[in-house]
Amino acid sequence: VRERADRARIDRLLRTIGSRLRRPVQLYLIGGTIVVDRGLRADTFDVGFVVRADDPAAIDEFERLIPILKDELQTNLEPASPADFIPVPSNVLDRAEYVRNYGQFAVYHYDLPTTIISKIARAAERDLADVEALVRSGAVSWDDVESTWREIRDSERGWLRHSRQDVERRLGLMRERLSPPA
Amino acid sequence: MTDADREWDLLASALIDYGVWYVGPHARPRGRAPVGEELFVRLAQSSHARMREAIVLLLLRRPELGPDAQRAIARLEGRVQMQAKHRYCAACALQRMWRTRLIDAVGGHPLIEPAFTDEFELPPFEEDFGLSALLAVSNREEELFGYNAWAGYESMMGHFLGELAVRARAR
Repeated sequence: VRERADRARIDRLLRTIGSRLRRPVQLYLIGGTIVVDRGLRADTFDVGFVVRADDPAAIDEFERLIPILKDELQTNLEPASPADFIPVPSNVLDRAEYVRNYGQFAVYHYDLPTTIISKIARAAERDLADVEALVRSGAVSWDDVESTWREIRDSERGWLRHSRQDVERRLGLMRERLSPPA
Repeated sequence: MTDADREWDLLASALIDYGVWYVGPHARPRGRAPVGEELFVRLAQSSHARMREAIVLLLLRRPELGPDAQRAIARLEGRVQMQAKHRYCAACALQRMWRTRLIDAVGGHPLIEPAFTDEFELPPFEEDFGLSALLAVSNREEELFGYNAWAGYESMMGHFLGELAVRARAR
């Protein structure tokens, strides 16, 4: 049985991970988890993340911890990345925004323009509402989204779930949705 | 060919006739494919899980068949009826969750008429774009029947929307 994770639950989870890891790890929150962590929506079902560490032993330690914490904290942790669905900029993790750390455990928000494009590509109603919230709150500028789209749209690889044409069309719908009424 | 094979082919053909390419027939079936209420009854009673799941996709593809589905469910009994009711509710929630994608792929359709919400004490289908209702339905299914319904609906929608997108591009 699934439960939602609000900001407090996400923070408790991150704090617990930080307290148990002995090696440096970078965790990149993705998708709806970012929106919840920024206080722009109440909760999410999955805490989505990408993980990176210089030391392979740190990844090993992290991966052993996750199933334990899933049960212990009743939170659904899901490794996932926009790169599993669409092309992303080559240095996408370097563009992530650092948000806080718990000891040697550093937490980032995955690159927001890429996050926006991946949400528009999937285009569930919840995704589209998240995009609107992120853009209208000023967390990300639409110009940066367009700039990132120009970077990735001609990529010949990475269209794993959505085609370039589908994403382009859905971006058009979002441009209309965000433009002020005439 | 067994009776079960023949039934599979008939139901698969009936679904394709309604624009649902979720399962394929092994061969062109002999006999008339069931339609409307009768199709829902036979899908719900199928021994194949994918046919039973296809109730959801048929409603998403052809929401105007909602009243047929409700009449079919009224004819069912026991566990089969209960599972079909859950799938009807799941379709209502999923349609609201994926409204833009569905319109993009197959054009505008009416919303599926809500049903069984009081019986299952579901939150409104409009709440959080249907997510709250789908969570409640999935959790009920998991408690009653033991399977991970949420994961099943996620996987089914990924497959269905992908198939619709491919067919929309081919048009």
